[in-house]
Amino acid sequence: MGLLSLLRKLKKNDRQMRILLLGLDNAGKTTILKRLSEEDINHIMPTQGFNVKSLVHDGFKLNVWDIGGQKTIRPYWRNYFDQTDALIYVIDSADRRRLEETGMELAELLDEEKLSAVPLLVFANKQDLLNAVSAKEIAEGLNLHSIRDRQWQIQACSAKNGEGLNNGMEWIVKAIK
Amino acid sequence: MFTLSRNLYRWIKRRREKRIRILLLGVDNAGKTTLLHALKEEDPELVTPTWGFNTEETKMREFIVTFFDLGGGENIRGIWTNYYAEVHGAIYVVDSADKQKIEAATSTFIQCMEDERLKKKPVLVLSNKQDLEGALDAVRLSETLGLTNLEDTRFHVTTCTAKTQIGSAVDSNIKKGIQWLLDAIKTNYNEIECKIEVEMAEQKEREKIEREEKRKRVEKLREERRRKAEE
Ligand SMILES: Nc1nc2c(ncn2[C@@H]2O[C@H](COP(=O)(O)OP(=O)(O)OP(=O)(O)O)[C@@H](O)[C@H]2O)c(=O)[nH]1
Ligand SMILES: Nc1nc2c(ncn2[C@@H]2O[C@H](COP(=O)(O)OP(=O)(O)OP(=O)(O)O)[C@@H](O)[C@H]2O)c(=O)[nH]1
Ligand SMILES: [Mg+2]
Ligand SMILES: [Mg+2]
Repeated sequence: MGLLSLLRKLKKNDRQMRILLLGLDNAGKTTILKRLSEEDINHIMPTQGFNVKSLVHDGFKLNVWDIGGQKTIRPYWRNYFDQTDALIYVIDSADRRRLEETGMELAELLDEEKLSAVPLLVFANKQDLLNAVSAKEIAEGLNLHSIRDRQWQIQACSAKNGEGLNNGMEWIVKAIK
Repeated sequence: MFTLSRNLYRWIKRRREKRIRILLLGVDNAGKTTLLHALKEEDPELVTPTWGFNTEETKMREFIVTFFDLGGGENIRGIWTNYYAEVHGAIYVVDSADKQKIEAATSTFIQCMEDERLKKKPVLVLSNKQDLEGALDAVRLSETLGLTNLEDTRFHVTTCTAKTQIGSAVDSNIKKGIQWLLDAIKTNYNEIECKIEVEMAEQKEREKIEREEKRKRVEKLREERRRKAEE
């Protein structure tokens, strides 16, 4: 390993990672967070404010902030942007009608100065549903290919059966290491 | 006045250090991300399949080089074309020891190289994973890819092993290959820059129209929802 990456690793190791979990209402953010912390995923209500949980993954402490996605709450997202190490954006893959809308919200996030160069993971959630759109179509729908200033990754997943979630978190940890 | 002189300074600086962009292509598992890690001297163990985009900027000779590394999986390859217009050259990586994938690697190669936006741009082809048994040498890979015209200076094929042990140096073939690529870009720099400018302008225009159409559709959808909620 090069000296630079070693230094980077040492520097980051003693720090906790701050991860933002954003996306439209009903995308499945809270369900994903609960699933990752092995909690009961039944009876989840729409989030009015935020939830925060600390997960340990691969020796890293990840503080994940899940913020409500309803339209009236979205203006408050920006209060959470400081010191973000990674952004996870969650999509309801079965909600074809709102794909472009969620893409526009994401584009606004990516324009935020405080989030510049922050790695982006897109969880294409609810893949267990029959009408789920594929990860590739989502990448196109969200215009991910217009991003140049940061690394991004799209991960198909289902918070319901847990598939894909760990792969996504593994990518996050490697991206910010 | 201050901004003017600052802009002037930036402009001069930009003229001196040429900024170029290089695209890493190749089907999944070829070793693109590993190559990028090798160039950065980063841990090769940190590599996972790419379902998206990585980027890295480094200084090489008189250039500031930005690499774009894309996912090569069948279902993500579709995004590649979006990057063709803006790059100065490309590196096509092949897992030359994987008999099963060589066909896909070949047809994908032919398809990209036919794209108008990549034409006249230099391409370095890496016959990767030479440490594995059955890896093709440069001549065999050239034949497989149909690069048998020796006059063609657009392509350069070389063997390499992108995956190295932590702490050991980058394969010298990779270094030499990249030197070739930078030389080829340098020789054709003005021509490539002009091509990029024209094709980027076209792409931007197209994207602008698409964005506007999208915005209208979203507005309409929101309006419909609002009306429904009022009823
Ligand atoms: N079928 C299926 N349903 C899911 C999945 N993930 C979440 N859901 C359901 O989607 C609904 C919304 O999930 P939440 O986790 O509350 O969504 P949220 O993104 O936190 O929504 P807000 O808090 O309003 O922003 C719930 O009924 C979940 O059970 C999934 O992977 N598959
Ligand atoms: N033996 C050997 N393995 C290699 C070499 N280069 C890469 N690999 C391995 O090949 C696998 C795929 O490498 P990646 O760099 O992820 O391949 P990629 O082209 O980025 O693949 P996608 O991101 O899926 O498009 C990894 O397990 C690497 O360790 C090499 O020179 N020799
Ligand atoms: Mg919620
Ligand atoms: Mg890769």
